[in-house]
Amino acid sequence: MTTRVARIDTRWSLVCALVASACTSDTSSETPPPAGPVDWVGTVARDPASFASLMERTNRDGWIAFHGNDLRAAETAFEGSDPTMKRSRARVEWSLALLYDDLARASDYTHMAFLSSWAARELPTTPGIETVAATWRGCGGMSDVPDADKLPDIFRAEPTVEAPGRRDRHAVHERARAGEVEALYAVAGVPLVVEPADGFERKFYDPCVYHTLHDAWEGRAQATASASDWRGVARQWGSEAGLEGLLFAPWLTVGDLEAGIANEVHPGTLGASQPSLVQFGVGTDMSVQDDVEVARDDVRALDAAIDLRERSLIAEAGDEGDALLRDLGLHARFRQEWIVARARKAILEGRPHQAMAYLELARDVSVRQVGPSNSPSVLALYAETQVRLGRTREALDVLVLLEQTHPEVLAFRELVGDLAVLQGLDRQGDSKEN
Amino acid sequence: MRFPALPFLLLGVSAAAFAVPLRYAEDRAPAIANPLFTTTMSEARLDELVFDGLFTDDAELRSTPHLAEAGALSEDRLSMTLNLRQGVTWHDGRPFGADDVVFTIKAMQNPTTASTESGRVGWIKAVTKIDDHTVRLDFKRAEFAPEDKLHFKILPAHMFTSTTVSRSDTFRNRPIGTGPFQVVSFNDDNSITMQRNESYFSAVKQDEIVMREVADKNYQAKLIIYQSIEALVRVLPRDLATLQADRKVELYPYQTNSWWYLGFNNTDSDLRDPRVRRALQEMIDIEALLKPIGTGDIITGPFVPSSPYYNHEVPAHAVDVDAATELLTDAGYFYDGRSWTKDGKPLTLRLAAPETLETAQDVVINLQAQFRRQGISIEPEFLGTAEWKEKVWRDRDFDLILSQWSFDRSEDIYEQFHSRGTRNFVGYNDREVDGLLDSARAATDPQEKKAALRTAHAKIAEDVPMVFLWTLDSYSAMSVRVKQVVVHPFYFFTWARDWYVY
Repeated sequence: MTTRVARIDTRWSLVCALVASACTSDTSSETPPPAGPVDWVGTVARDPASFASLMERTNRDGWIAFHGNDLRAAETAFEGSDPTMKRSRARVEWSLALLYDDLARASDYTHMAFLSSWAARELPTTPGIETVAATWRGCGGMSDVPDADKLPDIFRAEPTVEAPGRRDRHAVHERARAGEVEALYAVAGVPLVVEPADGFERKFYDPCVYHTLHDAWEGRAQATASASDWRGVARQWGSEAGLEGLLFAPWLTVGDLEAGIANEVHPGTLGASQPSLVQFGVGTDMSVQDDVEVARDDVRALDAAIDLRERSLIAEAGDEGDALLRDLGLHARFRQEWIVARARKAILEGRPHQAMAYLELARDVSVRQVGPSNSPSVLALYAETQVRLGRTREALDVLVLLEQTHPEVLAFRELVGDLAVLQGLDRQGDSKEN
Repeated sequence: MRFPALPFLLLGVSAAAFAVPLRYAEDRAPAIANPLFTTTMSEARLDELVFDGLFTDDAELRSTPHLAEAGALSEDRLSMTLNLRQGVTWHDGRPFGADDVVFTIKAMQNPTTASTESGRVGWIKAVTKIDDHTVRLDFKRAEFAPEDKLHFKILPAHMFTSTTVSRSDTFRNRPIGTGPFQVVSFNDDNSITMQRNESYFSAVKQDEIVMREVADKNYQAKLIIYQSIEALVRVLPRDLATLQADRKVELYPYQTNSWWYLGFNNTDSDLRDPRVRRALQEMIDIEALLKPIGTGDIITGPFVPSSPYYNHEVPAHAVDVDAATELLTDAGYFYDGRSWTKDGKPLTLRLAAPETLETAQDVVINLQAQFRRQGISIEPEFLGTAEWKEKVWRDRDFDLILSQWSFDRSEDIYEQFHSRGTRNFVGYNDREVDGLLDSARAATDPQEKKAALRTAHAKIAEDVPMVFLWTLDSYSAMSVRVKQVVVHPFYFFTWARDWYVY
């Protein structure tokens, strides 16, 4: 991984050096190259000057961070009121909002499963678990959970004892929603409740962290784009924008973006059924069958088309375009972004097996952690599919990786761990050599 | 074992391409096909194809009836009546029934049989045949979900003369199961050929499965790239990038909660002293041992870092020669500038490792060099499967062992670290850890179990009954021609009846 990242960093430097003359010229009067039907991978490869121009007009470090999936660093780097800069920043804030939306949905599903399993196992309630249930209900955790009406009655009442830190934590959430997210990040890994039990301490974490972080980042994206909803934010990246509305996105062209705005019901599925897929031999309609093979066939078709396109673009591109295409892994980036959108749509539409197959093929397993080859969303969504498919213990394998770059994931990892233990209490362990 | 050169293999592929068997590679061929004595992952995977349990995992990993059709738990939860599936036959055509269930449990429990799986039925007080298709199980204590413990494989009673079964019984290479595939032949090249059980009680799509033993991991990767096998059970981390880039191959996570360790014989007169074990640990540069193998996480105790039981507060150890010197000196050893001695005898340790453990030879050579630099001599011994079971499992005839444990999702370390554990051949014995492991098994509160096992992790790490080394990223590779693949996180082949090569 180190080698690859180092190479990418070197390439980022080299790219700007190669196009230094373009970088130093006055670019403010340049109009962005028309995206039109041209996809962003092809644009960068064929016209590297457009890429260099974007780097100059915004912030190269911001794009390096965005490419490396270091979203918070990218957001900080894209500071400024220039419209191109704002559109770039909104892209990052949008990605952060989607990440926390994914984590919130996964956490809600897991809370529901945990509380239901707790009750089904006839375990006694404690003030701590009552507090978690009440807090979770209070932040809308149950709103999108399937079978929410099946939440046991014991978890529908207000806690018999008020947890000491609950009110303070509520204030931290309020501040985060108002824009001060740092305080919430700081306490995300601190248990909401610690209660002494017989020879051990029970610790329960805040069930609302990801909801609030989603709201905060969504709010920022809307403020940055002066929009009132996600469609308004996404429209900023349409025909009036340049490459900043497309680069590293799951949608290839402005047309694909606009089709998504018109047809998708969730911001995280923009690009999942984009018209450009037809040229890749992939159907725009997703199968309603929750079948792993359907997903694998989609990705295989995409891979075959990408291989052809990569060869053809390399033949067309000059040295700089070639360097960008290969060393920034532009096709690989589009591939993963698209598969993630597709997988998210499969989850939202109730096809977890299909989503799992998509995500197995999306991850770069030779690298493991979040970085240029793996977005945090690919790991978060993979963990979610694992929990939904009863592979609760297996979800921890990716959450422990996600936590390395996103320490706030600790709360979710501990919850998933509790559920995994609860589900396996009656199992007779098996172990073997090798 | 030697293998033919690739061009020859490629010719073989084109000739065999129409037969479409599913050929999978194991590092080590199963030494035995009798679930009473299964000790390795390759044996467990074979069992999964050939045998069935009363219950199995459904696609969401919930226990679902399999050879049992239904189970009724008594109100006091102290017994369960199982109705068995009717019309099921063994691979030899004989009918499956209650006698088989009673036989299997009694054989597993029979101390003379010494089944390595006896721990899986220790909770059953009695098993009684009610009629040909009904059995009653009585438990030692109330059980909440006994079906979760009834996944062990059922054996045919008619193949044995009593519940005292010998490991060397001919059944070991003539297995008769009820599973979706039946063994046709154990072949001279250590491969095993299996064919679809035409009488299986649900559809089996694949005609033939062949297990091939391929000890050379580099060779395994080439075999799947050149389409000479369709499945590779475990990919070495260093091959992940190559296989991932190959459009004819797809990778599937197969994290079996596995970790490598260097175990001490804790009953040995020298190694019984914790100062000696700690000193040896202080001398080992684990990172240097791991480097040639590829990416992985160094561990500090008996769990993988993603485990809910892993204690992240236990610090990783670093090489500390000064501390090692002090500990060995305290323990009565003397360093003469070249080697450590005690009572005039040099400190020499016999290290046993399974000969087919992936890359173990590299690790042993590296380890030997590290110890030599510190004045300690290592005498390595690479053991075949039968020798390993004899010398390590039965006779405990070693000073050090290098091996790997894999755990199902329960990650129950009781058998490895409890003084009564059936897999505790390092001879670890600590009353506090025994208590923690007992508490963990009895716990009904998940956080109580987590707390007990995290404490056990810390205590075991402190006692150093073994040096915990690393866990490797574990993936299996499958040709894109294999369809409908969903891999079970531990047994791998649980849903293989849906797989087929297209």
